[in-house]
Amino acid sequence: MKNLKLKSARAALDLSQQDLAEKVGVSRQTINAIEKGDYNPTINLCRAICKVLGKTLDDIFGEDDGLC
Amino acid sequence: MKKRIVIGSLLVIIVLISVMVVTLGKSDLGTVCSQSFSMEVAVTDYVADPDTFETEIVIEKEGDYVFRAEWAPSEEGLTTGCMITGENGEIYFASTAEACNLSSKSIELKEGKYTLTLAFIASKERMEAFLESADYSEDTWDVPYTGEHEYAKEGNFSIDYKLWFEKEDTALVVGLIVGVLVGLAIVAIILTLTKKGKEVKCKFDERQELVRGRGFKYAFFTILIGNAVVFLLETAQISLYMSAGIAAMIIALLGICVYANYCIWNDGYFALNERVGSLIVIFIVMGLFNLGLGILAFVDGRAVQNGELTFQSMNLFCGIMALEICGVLFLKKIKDREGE
Repeated sequence: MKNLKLKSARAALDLSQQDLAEKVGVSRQTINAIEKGDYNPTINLCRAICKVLGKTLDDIFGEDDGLC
Repeated sequence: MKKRIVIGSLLVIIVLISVMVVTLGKSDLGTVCSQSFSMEVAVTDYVADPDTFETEIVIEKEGDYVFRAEWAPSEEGLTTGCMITGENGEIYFASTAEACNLSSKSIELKEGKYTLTLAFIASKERMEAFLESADYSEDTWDVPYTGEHEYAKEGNFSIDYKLWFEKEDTALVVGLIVGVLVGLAIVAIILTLTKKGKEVKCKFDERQELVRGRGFKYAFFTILIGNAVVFLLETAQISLYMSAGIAAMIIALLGICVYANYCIWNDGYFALNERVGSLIVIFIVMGLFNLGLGILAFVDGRAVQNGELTFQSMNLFCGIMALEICGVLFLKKIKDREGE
């Protein structure tokens, strides 16, 4: 399932996939795979992404019904 | 570890190895006492004329030697017996063969003069006399004497002999070790220079580690299946047209291809801190270099001997592998561009 919340949060900060990848310390392809729903990141990577984007885990990786 | 320390250490290793190679190169490793000559032997009523031929060998340096000989008679029916004796008549080596590439086991020879005797054997009685003079024993000879041999009653034989001694494979072993060490040092320098920043160690993110793990798994099963196939074919005595060692190397290359292709296609091949462009250039150069050497080996006839692939053919396979990896990298680049 595509992670549109991550894509929109990234776009809101005017960050490219490459920019976010460099800030988080992963490859651009990994960010791309997360956004496309091809890869489920570990909790550590989720936290790192949320920290860079200034969001909570729920904001980016929570289910739409509000339950994790 | 800092880049400068690594590169510095590797350069010191290369210099030390080069000094070692130059020093060893000055010693007398390799072929010695090489002799080539032709013999005309006439056989009349199972008696060869001349009966024997003797030549003197001077060993200038004590050591372990391997005696090698090649000869081919103009027709069948005459066997040559070879015997190397010392100044006091002690036997260092003896063997017989009709036509062959004869190779002795390691012989320890001291500095001095030796006699190489060739006996031209045209009858069972002469063979038995030679074996007796050579202290024949079933346990010590490579091929036990069976007595089943056909001799020519009459005939004129023209035989070209090539005889030589080699310092036992020390040079080859040293060459291989030096080659591997220099190769490793050069690869390490290349890998160090192709890293961004000061860190030498490859950095992969968690998804890449996952992909690489799967890549290793597929490569492992490829090698496992390849080895099983080779084992089954060898058990069934089906010729592979190569030695087991060469087959193992080709299977290893197949494993590398599977691993590299899977990792490249899933963006797990290159580390986060690697200069991808430099590595691709190295791959292309390495691939073309090996391909060229491989083609040359096939053209020269060094890659196939006695109907079997030799170690020299590996260059071609390495070249094909490197260029195949470059091809997959190129296709992946096209796919990524289309995706964007």
